[in-house]
Amino acid sequence: MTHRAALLALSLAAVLPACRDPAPPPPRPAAAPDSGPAVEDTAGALAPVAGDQPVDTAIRSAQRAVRGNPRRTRPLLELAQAFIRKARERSDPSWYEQAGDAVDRALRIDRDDATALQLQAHLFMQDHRFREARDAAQRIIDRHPNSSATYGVLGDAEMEVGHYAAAERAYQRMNDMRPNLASYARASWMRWLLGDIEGAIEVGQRAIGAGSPRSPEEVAWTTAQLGNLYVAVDDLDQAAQQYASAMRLFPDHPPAHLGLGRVAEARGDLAGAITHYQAAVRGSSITEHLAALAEALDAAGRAPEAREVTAQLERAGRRSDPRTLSLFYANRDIEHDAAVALARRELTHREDDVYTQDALAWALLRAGQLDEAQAMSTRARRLNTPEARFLFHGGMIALARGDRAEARSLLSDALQLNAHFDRRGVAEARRALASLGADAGPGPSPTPTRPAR
Amino acid sequence: MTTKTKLGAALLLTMAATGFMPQTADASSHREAPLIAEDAVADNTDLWAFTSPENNGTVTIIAGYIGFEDPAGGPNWLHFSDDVLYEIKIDNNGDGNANDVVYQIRFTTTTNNMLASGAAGTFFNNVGQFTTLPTVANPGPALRVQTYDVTRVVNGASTVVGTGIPVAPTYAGRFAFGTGGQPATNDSAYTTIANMAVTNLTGGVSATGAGRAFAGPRDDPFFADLGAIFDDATFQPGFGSRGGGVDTLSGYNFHMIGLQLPIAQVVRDGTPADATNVGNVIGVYATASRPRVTIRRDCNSTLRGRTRPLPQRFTQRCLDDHQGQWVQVSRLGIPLVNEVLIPLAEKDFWNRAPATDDVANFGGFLLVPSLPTYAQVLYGTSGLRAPAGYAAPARSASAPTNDMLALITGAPGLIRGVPTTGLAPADLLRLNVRTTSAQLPITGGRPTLPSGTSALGAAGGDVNGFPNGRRLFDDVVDIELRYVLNSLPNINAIPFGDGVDGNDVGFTNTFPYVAIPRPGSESPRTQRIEPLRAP
Repeated sequence: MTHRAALLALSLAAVLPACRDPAPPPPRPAAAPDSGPAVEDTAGALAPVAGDQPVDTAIRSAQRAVRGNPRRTRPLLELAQAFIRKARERSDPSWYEQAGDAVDRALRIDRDDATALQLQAHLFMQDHRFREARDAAQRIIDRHPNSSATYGVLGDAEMEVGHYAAAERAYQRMNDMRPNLASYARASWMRWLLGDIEGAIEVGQRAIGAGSPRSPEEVAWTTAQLGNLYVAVDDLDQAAQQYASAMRLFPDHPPAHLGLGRVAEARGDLAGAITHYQAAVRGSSITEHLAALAEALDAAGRAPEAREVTAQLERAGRRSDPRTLSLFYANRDIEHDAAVALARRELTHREDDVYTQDALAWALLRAGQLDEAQAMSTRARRLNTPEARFLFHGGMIALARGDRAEARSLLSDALQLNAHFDRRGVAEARRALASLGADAGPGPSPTPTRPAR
Repeated sequence: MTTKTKLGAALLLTMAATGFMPQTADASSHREAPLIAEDAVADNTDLWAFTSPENNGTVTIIAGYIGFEDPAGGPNWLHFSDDVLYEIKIDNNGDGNANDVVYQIRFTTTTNNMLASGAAGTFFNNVGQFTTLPTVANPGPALRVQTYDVTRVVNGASTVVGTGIPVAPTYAGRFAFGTGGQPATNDSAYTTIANMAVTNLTGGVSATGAGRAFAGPRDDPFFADLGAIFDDATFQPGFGSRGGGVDTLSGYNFHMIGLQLPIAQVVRDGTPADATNVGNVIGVYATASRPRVTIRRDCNSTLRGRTRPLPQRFTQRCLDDHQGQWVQVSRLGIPLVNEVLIPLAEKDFWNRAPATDDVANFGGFLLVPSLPTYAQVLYGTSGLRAPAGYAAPARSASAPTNDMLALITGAPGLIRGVPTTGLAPADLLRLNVRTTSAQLPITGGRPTLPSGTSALGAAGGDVNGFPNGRRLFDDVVDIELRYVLNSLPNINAIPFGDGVDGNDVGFTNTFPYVAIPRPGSESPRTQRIEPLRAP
């Protein structure tokens, strides 16, 4: 749709990454005089927002438009999208609360507004309410089958619960309706899951190319995602280029720092890696960042700091990312029961998701539950997703079950795919292969060991 | 339990409530890809079509893309995309299917390897000062040079009519176009260099040649008070051409693809020169398309560049996924139809649909606009705002005399050559190619036009203007507001208008007509307010 359409709706000088329609909904026949509220509404989505970034200007403009048009949904949706952008740029999910309030207000005016429903489904996703997101998206499609973003949300929800055929169908519809950064990025992730490495990278590049410099965080995010794919196949030079590009687009973008940390670590620069991981944590203290930092601090022999970060990681993981915490424990071969419980708990939300199944398989192996571990690992590897740790976990399970040929195949493939996939995992895989009398392939670049005391 | 979490729990019970719950505030183990992405470089902003004032016997079509470009856009200036198919499509037999003559434009960006390698990795636009138009062979100080090819497709048969045509450069700033290490003191150097990008097309089938082309950044010539139109639905107080509006687009740039084409290149062979002949009425729209991607493909993942082969379990046989398929993501014919008439839920469908199916797909929206109903609440007899007394015209999608139908069938009675029954309905900008051309205003603000020429086009008694094509100075906002709100037969009943009657800068009367872009040193901080005056 035309950018002009977006801006005809409202008197906004700032540019917003969304399409809007200025045609107002039919007004209620018995319209009361438009006197406005007696006291200015400053709650929720209309609470004052400080800051001088373009997104802050956009929020304030949208708030003014909401006050001037109390019975129209469009300004509220404009406002919701501005808050979503704020949440992303600041890596601060609390802004989603304001976005949710704006959406709820819009739905109170028109419960059938397609964009409001789309955004609501998107916010359910942020809240990990995957089934509700999926159901909401499906309801939108029933009434408004022609909007590509709805298929994006539907695909996202299906993806997170491991319904990959449904996700692929939804993402393909999204791409057929409107190719852009959002649809190409989803095609890239889907291809990755299906084991099409080259295809994932190629359409990931297309996604970046379709990005707008006026939405730098979106492009930075998409660029860092491509970097992650390169890391996963051990192409460190390409990965580093992508992360550097992401940082130029959006300075201190946390996923870029995480990626640069991973590259540094794989190249043997542990100190550099720690600096990046610390920056990632400062920007966004999610469990994944804390885990990377804890592991690196531990490897560097900085035990007190490692302990403190680990404590943070355990709190964060138990609260909101049990899978990452489960992997952390299982990688260290500690807390067997907790690792299993955490992964199982996550799987109840995630149904058939391969990343969670893989984490549970690993935890089950550590806890000695070989049969279930085997079943779970097989399930996790059903799409041929090129994650080295899936192969590594599968190989270790096969080894424990005495299937030496399968173990040899999976473990050597894990290292051949990515010789730097995980510090402890690589070491363990090499030891296991040695015990199998197998050639583990060329070794990874040297990584520093704990300094002698 | 805090009030917030109690509220959150209560909201969970209501399916409709979004009710974000703070407990999972830092949950990010799911993927959070952007959902609704702006796509500026594949976004049609405007389309103009008119008979050329300085080149009789040709028509000029200008397709605008990438709106609201801040001149100080560095380091990430916007450019045409190499990954987008830009098209200008022409219907010349009145059937509403604009595939009779299609111009396809594809861009290619080349990096200037002659510059120091350190510069190539930066986002600077140029290193040094321009003395001439940068080309691939001679990029000068430009870090990147973009060129384009033009292919003309007639009833499916393609001819390349332009190869490697340079795009006019970004106006990064006066320094880039100065000399001797000093910034330029005026815009003449940039103007001269940018206009070098006007290039003749080749492969013309007639003695009049194939036409010429220009692509690059320019001043955005659209003028409108976007805030006043719908912000609080108060059109300018007192209505009409009284000034007082803020030109929301003043100071911004855009990108244009301009084609100046001999009439013989756009009408059917053998069409007589008689202006009353329907063969002289063309319908035009402009589009942008992106490659279609098939997610699942048959692929041989060799992953070029990786020294060690992938494990065999990750190698598959492969076909190119794109396979030459495109999805149209934007289109524009008649100004403001998309913005004013098409609901948001239908935008994606609108953008990829061909104009020829517009009535079947969008008939209700096109023929019965909702804007008048809203205006009635505000301006009707019991309206909320003065002046009262506005009555929305009664319209029905099935009535054969629905006046909105005239907008999409070639405005019979207003455009010469169109039969009284109209052309096939479609959102195409219709132009009689034999229309008398008009001199463009060369100063900004409300244009002073010769007697008989009106920026209100047909609404101002000037049938040489919109909806007969669209000239750069036609005030389509005012015209369409009056058309939609008053109905066509009573178009001037209430002189609705946005109070902005002209572009902030003037034009030239030589292709490409549109003023050069604002330089990077000027960011639009204040927008032009049109002076108040008597109507």
